[in-house]
Amino acid sequence: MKRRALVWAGLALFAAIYAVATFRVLLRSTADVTAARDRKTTVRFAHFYLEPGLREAYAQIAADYMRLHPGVEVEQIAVPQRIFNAWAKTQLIGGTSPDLVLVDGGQFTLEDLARHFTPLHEWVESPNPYNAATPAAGLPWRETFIDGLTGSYDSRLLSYYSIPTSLFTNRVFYNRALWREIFGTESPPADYEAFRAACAAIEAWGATHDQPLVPLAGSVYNTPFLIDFLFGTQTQRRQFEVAWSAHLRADLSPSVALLQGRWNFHDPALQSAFRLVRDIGQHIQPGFLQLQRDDANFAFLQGRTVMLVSGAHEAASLRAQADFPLGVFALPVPGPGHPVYGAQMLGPVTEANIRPAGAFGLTRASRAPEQAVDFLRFLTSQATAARFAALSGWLTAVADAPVPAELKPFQPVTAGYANGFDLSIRRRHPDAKRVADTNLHLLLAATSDAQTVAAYTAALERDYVPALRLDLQSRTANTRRNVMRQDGNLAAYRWLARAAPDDAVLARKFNEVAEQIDGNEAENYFILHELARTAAGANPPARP
Amino acid sequence: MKPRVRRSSLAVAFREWRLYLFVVPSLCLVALFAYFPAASAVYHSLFDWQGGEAKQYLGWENFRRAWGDRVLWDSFVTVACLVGFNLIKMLPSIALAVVIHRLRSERWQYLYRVLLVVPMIVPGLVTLFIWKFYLDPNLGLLNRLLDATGLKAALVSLDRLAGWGVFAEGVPVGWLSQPELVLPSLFLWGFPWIGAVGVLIYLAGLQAIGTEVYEAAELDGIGPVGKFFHIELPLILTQVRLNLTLLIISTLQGYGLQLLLLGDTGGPGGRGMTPGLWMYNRAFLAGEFGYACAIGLILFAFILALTLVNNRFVRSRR
Repeated sequence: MKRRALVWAGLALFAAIYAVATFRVLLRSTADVTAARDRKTTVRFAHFYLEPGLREAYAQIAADYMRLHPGVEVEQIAVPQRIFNAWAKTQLIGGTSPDLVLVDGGQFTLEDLARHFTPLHEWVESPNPYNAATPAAGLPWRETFIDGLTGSYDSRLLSYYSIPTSLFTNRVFYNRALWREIFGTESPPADYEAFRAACAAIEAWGATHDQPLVPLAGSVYNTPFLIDFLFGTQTQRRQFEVAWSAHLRADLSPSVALLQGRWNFHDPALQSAFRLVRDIGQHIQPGFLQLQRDDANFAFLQGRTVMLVSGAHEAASLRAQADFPLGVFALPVPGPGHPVYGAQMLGPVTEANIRPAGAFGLTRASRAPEQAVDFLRFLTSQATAARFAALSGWLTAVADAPVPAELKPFQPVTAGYANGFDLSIRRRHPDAKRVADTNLHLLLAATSDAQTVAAYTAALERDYVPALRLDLQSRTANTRRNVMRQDGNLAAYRWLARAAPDDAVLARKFNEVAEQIDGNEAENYFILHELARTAAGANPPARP
Repeated sequence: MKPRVRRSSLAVAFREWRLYLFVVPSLCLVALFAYFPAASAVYHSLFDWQGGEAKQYLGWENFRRAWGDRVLWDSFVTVACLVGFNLIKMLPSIALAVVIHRLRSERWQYLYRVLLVVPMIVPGLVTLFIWKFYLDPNLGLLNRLLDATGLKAALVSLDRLAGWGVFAEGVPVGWLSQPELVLPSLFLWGFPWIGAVGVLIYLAGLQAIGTEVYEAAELDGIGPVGKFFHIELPLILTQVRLNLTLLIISTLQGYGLQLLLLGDTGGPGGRGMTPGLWMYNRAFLAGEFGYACAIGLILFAFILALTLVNNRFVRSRR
């Protein structure tokens, strides 16, 4: 009897403790939410930019916004880039994501965008109220961006899915003090040959002065800025030959053309691109394939390398840390007159097609979408954009916003020709990119140029096309699912149009969606057809 | 006298049924956070799923695809090498445990145990970054050591003879940027391979050996090496088996080390790609969560099989 009473007492105590604990947790979260709801609307935005200056700039702008809207609280969540992808996807799938999430870097698939982000077309068509007293007053919000927000438009989803805040152009940073010591002048090289000669001179100077000096700092983060760019110079002509649309942006044309055998890795343009990458790779910090962005910056800032290729977003941070005068010049381009690499080129490379960055998407999980969009409007108004550039040292994506003097060298060069494709087809094919990246060491090996280029070509011939096929299959599956989703929209428009046959806006919407579905399906079936047609061959032969 | 009633074991088990209520919350939490995700992975492995609500039933297609996935099977070769390395890396821990166990002074034994535990305070990530720095081609300790000892020149000469094409004069050794050196670097990682937890587990096993066993061995004239092979090793096989099982599971599942050292593609030539890393790559880079679940299940099958083999063949003679 006594034992039984003890058991019941134990159970009662256990249940009571459990109930109190649960109650306390529930009470706390409910209290928080209720209090927050009573007090303030919270807008949270997440990004992976941990560079000094930027977070402070965002924080200052958020503080300005909160002063303007006392009922709103803006929270910044900075997550390291290395884990941002997994973090953001987990948050999105779990329905706990912040209101605004950075969608740069192609980390989100079409499915992710459609499922977890809110289309912004209705907002971007109306003027930005924070531009009221500026020349941009009355303009649709989208027209206040450098690219007219075309980079944020997804043609398969028929809407805008992000609002950019910045612009990344890549440049060569150089240590002017070291440069003067080596060359007796601070003038940077004028073209590709001068750049190569400078690299060789730096190595020779290091050897004679018993100082291990490397021309270019490198890492898996920085180096692609240079080698993808140089690669693209060699496929400028090829891009025009294989593209099914002649716009400046990358599309799937090169990928399908590879399946069709319209180019392959023995193509003179590709061979020339491989040689060019090898050429420049010889002057990059040894072992850069195992180094990270911080390692490269560290080497440059310590004066162990003379140059560093990076984006405009790095300028403020480097300037703050360097104890030497910092110089900046454009990435070296061989030019059409170059005896070796000129034949494949059309001319100097334009940055007019550059896609603005620092783009935030509005998540479906947002509890305050209007407020979140309002914060984005504030952030991208002309006055705030100018303040953002001044505070952060980053270029802004907003057109006509004043650019601080130190950012002038980073402004995009609009004259010239669009660069051609690289092996990641501008990051559209993650698996194919993996093959290109993991075999890059073959191209940089310490053997002869011919051997390394042949080894890299052979590795790509073996592994690239199967990976590309997987990427294309995945893409078509995504598009198919999206078309299925849009079918519902189409049916809804159709149903509404029956009820209001004279509604011109509805009719236009219906036609737009129908046309887009047709376009997407046509492209999908074409790709599927080409995938099926070329399924047996590993790598189609070169065109005659 | 009351006749004795033979009660069934079920009745005995349920006699104090209320006591089971104590474990219900824990069971619920385990079911929610351990079994439900696992069951969800089994379910989603049959779908083309990108992590959202929409999914398309594929049947066994993900497993058929995995069967032909060269990267996946290459990653199993890599992980087999890593398991082999880790088996070798177990030996210093066993040796150290035996040495500490044989110390006559209890105070010294205690001191060494404390010294072993102290480094456990350092977060694993910090250790990892320290090792990453050691392997840095330009500043790393390993390359400096090779240069200072003249070993680099010897390696370069060997390379010329054998034609490896890995070591060259005037070029720093890229431990993680040359595919040929990725696995050797992962082998070197953690040198001298003393695992504090492992040593403490072996010590617990060694301390359970009675002094009479040692006295009998000494009477039989068995030396220190003989004692190890005939007494200590056979009697700590239970601990060895436990460590072996944990090691196999952690090596097969693990990918954090490779992800941080080599990136999500497994580094140059994909030499550091492990099944876990490929699963991560497919899920978070390609957005193929369904296929990643299928890889997870294949991995589970391998781990289960190896654990069964381990339990079947590694047995204590106690």
